Amino acid sequence: MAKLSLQRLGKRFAQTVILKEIDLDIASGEFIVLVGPSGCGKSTLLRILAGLEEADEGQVILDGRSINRLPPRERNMALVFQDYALYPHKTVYDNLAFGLSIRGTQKHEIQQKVHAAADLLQLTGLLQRKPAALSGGQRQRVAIGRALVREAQLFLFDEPLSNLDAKLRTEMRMEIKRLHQRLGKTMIYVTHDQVEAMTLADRIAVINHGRIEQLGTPAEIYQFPATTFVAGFMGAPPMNLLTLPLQWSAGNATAFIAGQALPTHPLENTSEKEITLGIRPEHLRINDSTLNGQPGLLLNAAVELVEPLGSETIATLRLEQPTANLEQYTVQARFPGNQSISNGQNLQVHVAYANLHWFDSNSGIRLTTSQASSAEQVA
Amino acid sequence: MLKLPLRWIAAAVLLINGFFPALWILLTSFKSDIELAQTPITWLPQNPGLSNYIHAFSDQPLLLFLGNSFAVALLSTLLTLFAATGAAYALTRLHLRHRGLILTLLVAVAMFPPATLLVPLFEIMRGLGLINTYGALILPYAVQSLPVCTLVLASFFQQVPKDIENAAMLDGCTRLQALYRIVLPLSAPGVFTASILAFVNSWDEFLLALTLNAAPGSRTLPVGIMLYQGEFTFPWPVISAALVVAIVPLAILIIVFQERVISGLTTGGIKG
Repeated sequence: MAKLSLQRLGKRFAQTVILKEIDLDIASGEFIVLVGPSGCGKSTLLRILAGLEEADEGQVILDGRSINRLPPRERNMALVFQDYALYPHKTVYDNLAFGLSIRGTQKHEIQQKVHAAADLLQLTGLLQRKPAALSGGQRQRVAIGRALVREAQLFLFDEPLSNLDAKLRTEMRMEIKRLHQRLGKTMIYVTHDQVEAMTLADRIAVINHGRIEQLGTPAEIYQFPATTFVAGFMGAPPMNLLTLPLQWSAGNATAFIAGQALPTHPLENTSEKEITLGIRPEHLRINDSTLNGQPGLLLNAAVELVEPLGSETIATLRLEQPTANLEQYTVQARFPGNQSISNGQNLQVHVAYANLHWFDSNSGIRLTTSQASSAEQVA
Repeated sequence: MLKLPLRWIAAAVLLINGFFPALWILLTSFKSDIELAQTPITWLPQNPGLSNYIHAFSDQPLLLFLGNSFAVALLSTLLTLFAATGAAYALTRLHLRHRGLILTLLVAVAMFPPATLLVPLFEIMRGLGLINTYGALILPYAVQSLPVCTLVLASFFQQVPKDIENAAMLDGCTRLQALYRIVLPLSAPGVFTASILAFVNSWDEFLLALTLNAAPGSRTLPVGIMLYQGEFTFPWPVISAALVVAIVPLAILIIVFQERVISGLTTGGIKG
């Protein structure tokens, strides 16, 4: 089985640092998603694993053996490319069979494996076609089939769904998840789409500027983001991040929002003047009886924009400040779709103290410690 | 953009300029010496016959010249393709230092007038013992065709998406296998173009052929055709017949290969 360990991996192109001190242990059979914005280095990391790029520093250890110097063909990994990268001069059958025939597999065995993969991916009727005669979804299926046929020990996906339309993307996402459940192979999947990351991953590595900002299960990443970057990147709409002024008295800091004093997470650095407060849009609630008994924050707000989505409504709210000279805060809230909200409406929204996230305004690092141990923090 | 009638006129001028000499040679090859000398000139042969062709084959060993030319052109083309493929691949895919300088030098080599190389080449070939053999022509022809063929192939290799090649290497190919099994087939139009260029270059060459390989048994067509003229006679109709024989294989080659020089071969391999 394929157990992969990345140790202090680094990569630079000329003077630009692409990857920096990447440490990551991937268990056999695990589905890891590398997620991050364009240019964060996630695809480069995948290519280093595949052997298409060389790391400048660090080791890639596969089942206890360093594979840094192994050429791609000896790594027994399969990579599904964003642009499919099918062989345009070969039929679907030959595309699927190529990897086997180049490795000297017997003809009847090739035939058997190609047909098995074609069955699984519903490509049987298309085997004699050339890639040009296939739709985008079919091409991507062939690309996945090519990886499947070879029975690679590790599957790498480089944004495989980003060229498909929304409906097809959802379908293929489910197929990939089913495939993982069925095959139980180690899979590493690169995407900038947080929905793909959340739905597919056993664990997510959020990458930013060539570093892993946070590694954790989808729930950990969502509920306890380690940095403001992760908080802002995962979730749609993203977590509201508000920079609040701090007042110090007798070594205790108090933050202020909408004229209300708010007890903050204990701060070590007594010279801090600001703190960042994070609130998930779904944690802002209107007249919510479930808040009864829970200590929380009560905010007056005016509705600026309403985006009804059917099952839910996204509302942009401007928080009321007691005096006009204070900083104005705008937040996004997610309300149930049956709640009637209209532009210009004045609301009172609650948020439980337990649902507040605190971050250091300078470093962006999470301050609340309640779940910090589960949210492995590298940054 | 030229206006429509102007475009037709321009096309007609180009066509006449290109085809008239060939057409004139073809017509001449069916005329007699006497008819050719007549004034006013006749456009179409009055008594067309194959006698000039029979003479062309009987007066000189034209078949031997054809065979020699074919062997030299084919072997030098293969050698050129082999070297140009490697060079073009290295220039497009490997992270070479001084890539720009190498490209400039390559073009510079192609600019050398062949006459300046004649004496050194003769010395080299004599030193190698290749004078009056195919080798004396194959090597310099390959070198002559190499720059342009490398540039042609490089431009085609560049169009093959890198990820297709990467996919092949992950599928189990070495870099060389990926080149020969994936990149080259996808660059087929470029390979055909380069082949035609190299073949025509070798087929037509006269100066080196005369200097380095003039022995009766290994003469190529351009040198051989020169032998039809006597000290005081120019049997133009027979020479024309020999020329037609020299042109036809080339024309067939180009027509056959032109059909294969189709673009869009890479369609569908990647998104786009």
